Amino acid sequence: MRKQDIAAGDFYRILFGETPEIFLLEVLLRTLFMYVALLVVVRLMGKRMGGQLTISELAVMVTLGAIVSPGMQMPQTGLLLCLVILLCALIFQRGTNWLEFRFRKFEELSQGKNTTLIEDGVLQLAQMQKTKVSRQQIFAVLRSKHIYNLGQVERLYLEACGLFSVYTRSEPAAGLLLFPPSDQSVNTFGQQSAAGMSACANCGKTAERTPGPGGCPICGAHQWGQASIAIQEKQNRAS
Amino acid sequence: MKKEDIHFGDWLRMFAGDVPPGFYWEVVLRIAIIYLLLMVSMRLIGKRMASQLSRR
Repeated sequence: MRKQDIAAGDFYRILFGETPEIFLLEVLLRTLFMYVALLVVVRLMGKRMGGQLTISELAVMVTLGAIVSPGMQMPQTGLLLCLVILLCALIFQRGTNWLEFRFRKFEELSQGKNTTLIEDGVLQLAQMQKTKVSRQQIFAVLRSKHIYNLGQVERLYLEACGLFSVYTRSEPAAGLLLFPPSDQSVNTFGQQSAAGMSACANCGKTAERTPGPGGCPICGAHQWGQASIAIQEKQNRAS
Repeated sequence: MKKEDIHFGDWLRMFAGDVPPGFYWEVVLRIAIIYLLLMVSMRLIGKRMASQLSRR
């Protein structure tokens, strides 16, 4: 379309574009065809496509929409072409899935490995830096899992798919409180201070009394806070 | 494509499209490259891309 042909307020162009009115009927047929093709392909891609567990599934989901849309609305696009592209996406997705299932090394390459972010109540700062997860993001994740004290955490994993998995200690130990710094009034909720124990404000390592000039034995930081122990809730909540 | 060239019931245009047959090979190559590109960039963006923890 040439620049001179584009006039403002040309409602035929706005509504129908550069196609005759009858093309609307063709759009109906095209959409029907592409919709059925899309349903079949997504079904063949397997059960997990709905949940989008991995990055490749997310990537494929994003592309599917882009693949089918020209077939629905562009007059010069052939439906067979879109079908070929859809089938390619299906084959590549199923192919990588098969390779990931068959070869462990390939899965590590394509999906990555999980990372340990907390070990025995201590933040693994090097791993956090590698995965670019901030302290407050970790705290937010733990709080949403009803954990308000680092001492309750045995392990926190960042899975390769981006989900967080947490393993709690059977007996809560002394650790750093996880309440937001802006909310002072909540600080004692369900917690009691551990007598004589300090927690490193940087990584959560606990120590008897405030250590001397060397700083925190794990991260070398010099800021210490009062360590607390979570009061065990009544066992009325499963998990 | 001009408006006058679009007729309803032009099944060759609807199913094969306005491209030479050789383009069908090209498209397979194209999607292979794009798929690889997408996978590599998703992988490099990092783990949390998949679960979308933050708004970034």
